[in-house]
Amino acid sequence: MNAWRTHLLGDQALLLDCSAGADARLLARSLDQHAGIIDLIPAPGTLTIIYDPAVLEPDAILLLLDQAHSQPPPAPALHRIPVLYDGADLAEVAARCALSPARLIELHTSTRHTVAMIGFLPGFPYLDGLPARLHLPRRPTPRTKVPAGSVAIANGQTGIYPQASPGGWHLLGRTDVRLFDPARQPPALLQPGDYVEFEAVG
Amino acid sequence: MLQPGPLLTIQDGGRAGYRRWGVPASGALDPLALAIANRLLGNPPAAAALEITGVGCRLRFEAPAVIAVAGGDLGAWLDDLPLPLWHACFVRQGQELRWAERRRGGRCYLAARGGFAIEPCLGSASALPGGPFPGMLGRALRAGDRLPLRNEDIDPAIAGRSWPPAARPLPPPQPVIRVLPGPHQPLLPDQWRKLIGAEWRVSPDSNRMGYRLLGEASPPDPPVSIPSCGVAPGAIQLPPDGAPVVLLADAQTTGGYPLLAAVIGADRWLLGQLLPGDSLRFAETDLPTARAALREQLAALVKPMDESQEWGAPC
Repeated sequence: MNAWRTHLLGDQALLLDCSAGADARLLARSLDQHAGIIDLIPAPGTLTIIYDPAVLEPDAILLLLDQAHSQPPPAPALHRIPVLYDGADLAEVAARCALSPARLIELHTSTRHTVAMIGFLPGFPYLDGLPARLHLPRRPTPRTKVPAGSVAIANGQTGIYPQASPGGWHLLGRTDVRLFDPARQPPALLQPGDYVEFEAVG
Repeated sequence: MLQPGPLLTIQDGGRAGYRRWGVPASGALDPLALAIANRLLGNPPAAAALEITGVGCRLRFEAPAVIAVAGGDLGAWLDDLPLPLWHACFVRQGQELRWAERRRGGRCYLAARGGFAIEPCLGSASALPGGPFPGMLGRALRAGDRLPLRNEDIDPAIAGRSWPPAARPLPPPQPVIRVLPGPHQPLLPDQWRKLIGAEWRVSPDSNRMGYRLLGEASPPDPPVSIPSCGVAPGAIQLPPDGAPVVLLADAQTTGGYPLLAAVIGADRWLLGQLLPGDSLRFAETDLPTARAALREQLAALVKPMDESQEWGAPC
């Protein structure tokens, strides 16, 4: 009895729907490093598997997944990220949420956030756990350039821009922490399941 | 580098294993042409080459080299003589190579014997314009750039080799690209019918991340919302405005739009030969057909070099 549903995503990838309970990260661990597995992308409720059809078939991959149950869950790391809360949208977000900026910062820093997914840019984390009080839709017009290190919120999540990029989230502040370094192994600081706590500095 | 043309980047077979960190695989949009250019020179098939987009690119060789150009026919000239595609050619110091006229396809690959002296990043020498990689791997190439060649052993015997004409993948002007239904196709029956039935045009609003398609856009009504998930090049998303987006090598690794279809691996090279304004159609196929097509394509890459070489005229 599988706790996931399998969909073909072309002839070189599979999309596993694990919303029925299986942990995508656990499934990823049972496949990682296996011959023929090219890439794994965990996301909330899903795991995308990119494989080499010359080496593996979907059925063979499903057999490998059955071993997931015998593995212990990965231990999440806790990251404390210092933030200078001087973002261009801080005052506006505070006003819209009927809070003082100080109270907004307090709410953001007293929450334990969880990395739901890495995507959009190398090293960009989507963090769950934003207090409901701070839930706002994205800005109607994205900025063409958001500074590197920007800590921003939208749609109930916090994101951190590892590099300057276009962006439509509300900018609360900046961090110097390097989220992505191609010279590092692994190159991204955060991975799905990790915890993040922000600390106000400056 | 005298003139880059519309887009000139260094691409190899791609960057595998880092999508979980948000790093797209990148790599040549026409992996077949890249492989052929390399194999003609005795390079590993996924070795880094220059991906030339459209016409306008002009380069000067500051050292002799043995090169091969494969892929679309963009009117390549070496000084004042046409440069044959699908051939290994010897180039002298000071010669200029340019692409002047689009005749067939949209991209081609310039490989050099021994490859380029480029430091790979995360296991690959593929560039990701705007990405977090240093130097030429983090941007498109521009006028004035110098690309060092490795040029270890220029074996004059290689110049003159050609790829058998029957094995040259020639891009058709209006390709029919085979797809498998995507994970969310059952939620979008109208959109699927239109995808398979209609003619589509590549929008000017397109790049190596993806092609937005113009045609019978059909916004899903009621809107279909799915949680964000990992995606792959070749996947076709259906955003709320109903215009399908075909994801390509530099696409973001995750997406929140429904996945309507996915282009089969054996036909991805056809996507790589399209430019904005070009037309295309899609046809439905199944997994066994897709797998057989890919196997056949890979076998065709290996075979020609095992047989005796066709000795074309030296360039």
